[in-house]
Amino acid sequence: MKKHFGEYRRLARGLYSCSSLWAGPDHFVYVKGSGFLMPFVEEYKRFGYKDVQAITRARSMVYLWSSLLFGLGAALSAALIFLPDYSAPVTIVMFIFMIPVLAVCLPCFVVTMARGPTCRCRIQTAVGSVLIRPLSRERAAKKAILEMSALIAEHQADLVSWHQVEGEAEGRWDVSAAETETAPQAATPGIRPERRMTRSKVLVPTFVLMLPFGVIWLAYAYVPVWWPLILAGVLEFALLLGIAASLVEQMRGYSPGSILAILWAALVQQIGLMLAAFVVYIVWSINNGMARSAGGPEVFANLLERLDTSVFVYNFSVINGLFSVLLGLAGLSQVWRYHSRMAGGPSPPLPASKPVEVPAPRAREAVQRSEGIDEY
Amino acid sequence: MCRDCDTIWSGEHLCLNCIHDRREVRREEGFVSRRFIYDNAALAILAFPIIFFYPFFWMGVFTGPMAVYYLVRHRKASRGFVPRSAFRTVAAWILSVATIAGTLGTIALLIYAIFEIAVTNPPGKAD
Repeated sequence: MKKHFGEYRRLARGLYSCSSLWAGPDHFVYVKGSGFLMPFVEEYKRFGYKDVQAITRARSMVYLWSSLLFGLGAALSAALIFLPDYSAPVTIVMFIFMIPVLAVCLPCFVVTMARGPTCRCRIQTAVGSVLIRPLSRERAAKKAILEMSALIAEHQADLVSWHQVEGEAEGRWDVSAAETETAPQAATPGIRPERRMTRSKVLVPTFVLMLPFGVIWLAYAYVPVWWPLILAGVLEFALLLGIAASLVEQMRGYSPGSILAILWAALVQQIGLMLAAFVVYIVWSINNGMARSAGGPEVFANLLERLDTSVFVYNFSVINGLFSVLLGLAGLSQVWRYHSRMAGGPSPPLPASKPVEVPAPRAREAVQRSEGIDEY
Repeated sequence: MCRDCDTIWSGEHLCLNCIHDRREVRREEGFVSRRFIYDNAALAILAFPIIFFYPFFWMGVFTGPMAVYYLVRHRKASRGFVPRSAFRTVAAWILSVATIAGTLGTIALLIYAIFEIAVTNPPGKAD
């Protein structure tokens, strides 16, 4: 897609270039495309720079759910593809059906993580507010909003504000200079500076612990020796404590949504592991004659025995290991990205608007407008 | 024109009737609010059944002429807000001709095969 043509310059582009946002000489154009892989219908909404009242940006949960969905899909399909026994019919079937799933989920997961958190941006005018779909990623949205704010500030610099109209209605003609001397100038109008993340001594070590934990499980899938599992058990307890402490700390203060999502996913994984360990213990106890009972536990144990335990253990180890390693790497990368972004400092302030001197005839018109007097 | 009817649009002072005329009647560039992209639609009509529903390749007997109608009837229609080349139009033309030719060829082959079978093994002929 072109980046500029005629008087228009592209500010943002949506998925498959269906939608886009353009800056023109005195207005924005939001091209909203509807279709599948390419737009079949385009709708155009134009916003004059002088008509824009506000641009809002709010984080959305799409990033969390899409990264979880694609990550789990990629991990599960990869585990099911690399089954140890290729002669079994079920393995061949899994191989055929899981390859397209992996081919879709893995690139989507990588792209989702690379593009970063999602958000929803709206442009508000006197008529209403419009959702701008191309501004769906925070990084691109922040950059575009800065450019839009600069254009709007430039075109709205000569507009008369309400307090000036009211002041002139009260007979204070030279209100503009006095008001602007005392009025606070916003550094970045409409843009809130980034908040500092809650400091934590536990967060980074927790993410680091996930890496050896995942590696031990991955190694167990190929070298089924029992003693590393003891180390994995110790790491699991440490991880549980670390994840719980990190979650409490981060939720008390401010934390990026991506880091919270990773911590929650890790917590769910650890709880699932503990439940799985509990189930395995019951089965082992029953099979070894330490506990004999008719009914539910024995039936469950019989069900598990009918499964190919090597396949079950292999899949479990690979999925668990991959998931832990991925979560650890994702967490460390998000922490590093956030801190390096904050180290760069907050967004630079926009140039302050010049004080407006309202000449007498215009002030008279403002008074007439406020008193409902129509000259025509 | 009174102050309430006056609207500033791209530096011009226009009344609401003029805006309606330019947008809905004359469909001038810069005033249109909605547009159907015919070359994209023609390409999708031809390509999507082949890519996603390939067992339904025989639908080419319907999709081919429909795409040709879009391409001929709206050959001068705008390709969207952002200027684009005619690559998609050319691709749609090539695909539509290939689809119609392929579908007609397949039907002709089927008819020929049925005819051959009927001539070789007419009904009532003793084996």
